[in-house]
Amino acid sequence: MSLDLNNRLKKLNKLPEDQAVKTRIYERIQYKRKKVLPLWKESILLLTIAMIALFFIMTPQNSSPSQTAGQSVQAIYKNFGGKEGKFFARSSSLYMSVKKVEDTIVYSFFEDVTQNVEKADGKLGNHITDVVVVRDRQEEHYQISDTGMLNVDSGQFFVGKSDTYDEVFQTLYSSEAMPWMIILPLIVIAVNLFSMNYYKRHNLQGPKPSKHVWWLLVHVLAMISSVFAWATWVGPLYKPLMITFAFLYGVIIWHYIKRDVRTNSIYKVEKIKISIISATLVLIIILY
Amino acid sequence: MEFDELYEQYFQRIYQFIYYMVSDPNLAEDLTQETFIRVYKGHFRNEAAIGTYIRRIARNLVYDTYRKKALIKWLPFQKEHEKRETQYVPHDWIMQSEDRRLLYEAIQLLKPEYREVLIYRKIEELSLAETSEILGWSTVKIANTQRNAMKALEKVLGGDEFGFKQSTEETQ
Repeated sequence: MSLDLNNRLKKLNKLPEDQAVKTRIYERIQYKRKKVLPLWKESILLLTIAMIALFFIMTPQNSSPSQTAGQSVQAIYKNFGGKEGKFFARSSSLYMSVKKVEDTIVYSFFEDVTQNVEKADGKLGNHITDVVVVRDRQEEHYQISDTGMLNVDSGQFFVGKSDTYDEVFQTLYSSEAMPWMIILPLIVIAVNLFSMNYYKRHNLQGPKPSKHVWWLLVHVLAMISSVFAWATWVGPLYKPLMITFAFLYGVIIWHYIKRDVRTNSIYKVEKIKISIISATLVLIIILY
Repeated sequence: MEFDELYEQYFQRIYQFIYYMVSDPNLAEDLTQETFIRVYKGHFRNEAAIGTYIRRIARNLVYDTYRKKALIKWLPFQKEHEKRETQYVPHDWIMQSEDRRLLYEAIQLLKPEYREVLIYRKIEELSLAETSEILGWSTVKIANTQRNAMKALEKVLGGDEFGFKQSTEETQ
């Protein structure tokens, strides 16, 4: 029965060649070969992503100030750990490490600053927090420290003269950000250990880095360096833009994996790896 | 090897494999075209035989199609053309012989993993090593799948527990 079945199956290997189909496909391939546009496609994709990111940047960020009756201060934002001569807070919590202040004492303090501070010459201390006060839809920028407070817009220095000042300083100079960044290397190590173990168990040879991947690594490192340089010297990073970068990073890596990896099992593992890493990156950006 | 040579050498094998896997001449044509476009665009690095490389592309495209079909079933608000299933159209050559038709239709009732192992191992008569390279499976797994596929095929051809006789009578 089985031998007979083998012979019968062999006969199915003689499906006649359909010349019409063969020619039609060949002609269509030739047509596509003439108008090869992968570079254009990639450029358009990158341009679209850049445009979306730009749209996010240009969108007004003071969307819903929590103004109550009789209050002129609509919102207060802070950036923990400021530096003298640099101002990193922004009037939106969509920037990384910028938090919206909810404490009523701080709002009361900035309603009428003159009651708690007095104009005097002085210098900011070592512990500084950048504060943006949105008052009557206008932004005021302050740097508050243990020794006094600086109005960044006018350059006027104030010295705290009440206990309220100390209380406000303590409230503002408290880091709410958890060290989420630590998660990333842990996740990267974990997924790599998992994949190594999987390849070992299934006797598979992990993907070798190709020439393209090394170029990709250079580009990704350049991008990360630019992000860090921006965060250090220019200003806080805009979360939607960073999420776009994280997503783009995942897509680029996935694209290279799909192109280079030849085995379906390895492709699946690598796809899961990059999905987990990208999702972790996005999570860190959202939480930071 | 030049693209034209590759096309000449592998067109029929790839088209046949895809056709046997999807049973729809239009879809088979599209997927064969996509396979060779990817071969043209891709970067073959001589890590496997070129035939294996092309077959892997074709196989991935077939499975992508299965996945899309499975996903579309779950999507709400589909347009009419998206709801349509692929059409089962047996090739004239298959219909010309009763034995070929029975065998072909029996193969179509098997699950895709069985079907592809039978195509590679029993129809195209590829070696275990070649099949292993294409599928990315161990030779043991291929041997086991092949044995199970043959049993399932014999069952479909021999018994009526899958309603095979009835279904083939309906198609006549």
